[in-house]
Amino acid sequence: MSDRSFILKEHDKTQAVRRNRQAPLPPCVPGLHYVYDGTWEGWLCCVFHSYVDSEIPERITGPGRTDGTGLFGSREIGTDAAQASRVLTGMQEKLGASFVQTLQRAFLTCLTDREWYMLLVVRKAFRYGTQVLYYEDDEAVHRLRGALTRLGSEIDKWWGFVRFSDIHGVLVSVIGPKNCLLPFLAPHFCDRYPNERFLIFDEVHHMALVYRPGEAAIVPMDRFRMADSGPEEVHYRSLWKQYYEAIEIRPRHNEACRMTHMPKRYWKYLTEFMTTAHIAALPQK
Amino acid sequence: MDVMEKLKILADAAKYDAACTSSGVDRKGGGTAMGSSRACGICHSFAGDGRCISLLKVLLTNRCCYDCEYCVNRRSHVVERAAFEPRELADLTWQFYRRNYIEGLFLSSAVWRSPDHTCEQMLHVLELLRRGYGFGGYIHVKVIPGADPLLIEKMGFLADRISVNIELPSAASLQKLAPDKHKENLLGPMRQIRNLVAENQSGYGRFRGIQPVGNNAAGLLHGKRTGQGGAVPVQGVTLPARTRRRRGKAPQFAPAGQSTQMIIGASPESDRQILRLTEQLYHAYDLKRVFYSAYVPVLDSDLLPAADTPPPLWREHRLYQANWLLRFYGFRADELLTETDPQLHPYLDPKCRWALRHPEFFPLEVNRAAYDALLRVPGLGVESALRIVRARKFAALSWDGLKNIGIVLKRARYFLVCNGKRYPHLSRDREGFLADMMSARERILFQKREKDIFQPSLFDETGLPADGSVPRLTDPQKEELAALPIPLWD
Repeated sequence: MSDRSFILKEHDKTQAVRRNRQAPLPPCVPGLHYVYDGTWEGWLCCVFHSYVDSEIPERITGPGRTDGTGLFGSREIGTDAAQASRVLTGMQEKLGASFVQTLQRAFLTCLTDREWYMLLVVRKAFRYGTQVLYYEDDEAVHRLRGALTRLGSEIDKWWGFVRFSDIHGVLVSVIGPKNCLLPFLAPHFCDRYPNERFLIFDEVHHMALVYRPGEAAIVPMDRFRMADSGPEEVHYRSLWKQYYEAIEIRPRHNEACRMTHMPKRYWKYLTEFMTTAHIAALPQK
Repeated sequence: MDVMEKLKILADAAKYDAACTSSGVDRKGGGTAMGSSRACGICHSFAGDGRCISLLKVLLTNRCCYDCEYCVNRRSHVVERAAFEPRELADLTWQFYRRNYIEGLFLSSAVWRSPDHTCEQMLHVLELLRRGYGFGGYIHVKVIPGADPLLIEKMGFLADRISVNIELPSAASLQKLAPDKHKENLLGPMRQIRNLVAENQSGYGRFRGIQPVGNNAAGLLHGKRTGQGGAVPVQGVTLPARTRRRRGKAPQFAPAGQSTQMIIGASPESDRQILRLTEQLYHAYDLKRVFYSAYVPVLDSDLLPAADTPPPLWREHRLYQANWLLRFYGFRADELLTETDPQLHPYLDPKCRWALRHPEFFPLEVNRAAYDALLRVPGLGVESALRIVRARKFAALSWDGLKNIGIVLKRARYFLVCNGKRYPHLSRDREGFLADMMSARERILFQKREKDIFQPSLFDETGLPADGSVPRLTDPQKEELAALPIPLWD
């Protein structure tokens, strides 16, 4: 008898879990906008408040991105280190480190409303498990996955398209990525050039990766102007430009194919497309 | 002669080598003065012909003592000759690499005095870069056929990838067009390299302590690579693999394996012969890649296509498609091309053609079909098949669901059912169906040129897309298309 009751209890438990899983997320509160400070910790606090008040906002906006439409319903979310670390620990324990890493990657993409999609995915993951990340039929998951794929391919592109100039022994480069890439470029380039000093300036996000042997940092930087380069730099630039032109097989010229792999927005950062006057006179930017 | 002129001549002479990949080896920097390598390979630029520029692809010299008919560097061709000093080339590679222009060096050479002499010079450059400068970037080196095996072995320990060009798809063509090169001189080094790579990875013999890593991409489906910690056959004998690797103890021989290239369109071989040879190379020689290079007529010769023949780019493209089907999709060459039908189709890709000839295989149920079967559906690639397999674990997929996970249904919809349902709007006439089977570019070309299959009309060939090398359909090919059963598999 006691055995049977145990079975029944277990059965009730699984039923409860199943009901809970089938229950939809709380609905979006119309007109409610979370406004946060744009940092990762700030976003973690948005997750915190979403749970504490059992509500899902209609949007989450960073500091510079309020459009004024829903401002009357907007709610300022203050960043609180204790709340942030509580959410982070919870995610790490329940959802795992790789899930958190995926979220951090998503946070650095240029997807509009990424914070909101991330919140939805987190809430779903807490309810249904981390496999929600593979259910691409869901809009939030699909959007985030798409953004992550584009981030990945942009990282691949910039690993190749960064062009350094040797200015007085320091390698400098200017890049213009859509996503915030420097955190992903840093390990690659620091590993590749351990004995060099270099700087990569991201002119879209106004940040720079600076490195000298044994030390690397990503710092905010408003603007950057490349100093004039010496004759050696000019020499290698023209060698590269000439190599680029010589390696093409003319009867196979295929502009569409080149543009597919290397869209024009990259061209202004590439040494091979600098004009001869540019190569000699130098400042790229 | 300064470096500028030398680079111009020697890059120009090297550009007909198709391969420019920097993939297959993951190596952290740090242990070397500069340089690392990523298994996925990194493209640093794309030339005007759309080909990737990953490595600094140059010849050490274009001074040649051979007289191969198809080659710009042949002895009897009047062209400016140059040669890099080893230090000059090492410096150039180093400085380009420092500026992130390139991923490494692709070193090839014409045969200067003798194969051995050339190989020694090349070895000099590699030694200078690796040992002298501490260069950790990617190096792909081309073996000169006929060189001493000892030199080849030495090169393999300095390079990441090593390749021998098989040049032409048959011994007869080789005899005719490249009389100085012999089949045995090409296959000998390929065998030697295969054995050294396998031995190196087995952890036995001279290479004790090296862990085997999956090296053979051929015929193995994604995620099913064997050899990862498994047994590797060395010269026919399978030894149990070592499991632990002692870092830095033994040198690695060509960790990114070997590749080869052949010229397409300079000799009369059929696509079937080429594809069967490719398959054989993947299986018997453990090649990582077989490259094709559409022949660009640069020289006048009675033995070669006329100088105004456009390079057969469509054929190269189709061969690469078939090549991929062999490498990643589990197809065999004999399934794709038969003795009675040995040529690839100008308008239909090889997988599509296979599907049209095997109606018994279709339609497949999206929610139940095995991964290997999904790979055989036209329009589904490795990525799409993986997405389907992942997503259907969570919930049954509908047609809308397929669209939502990013599957392109233009072609695939004719070959699939979803929860027992066919796609709602399938084209019922041959013309519409065929149009869906082709890419936009192929469709335009097809409609301009071959429309008379369906409705007799006067030809209007104005405004054709650029690729004039696509041949007209033969009568049997036309009949085949006109007789396609519509509706399909209802």
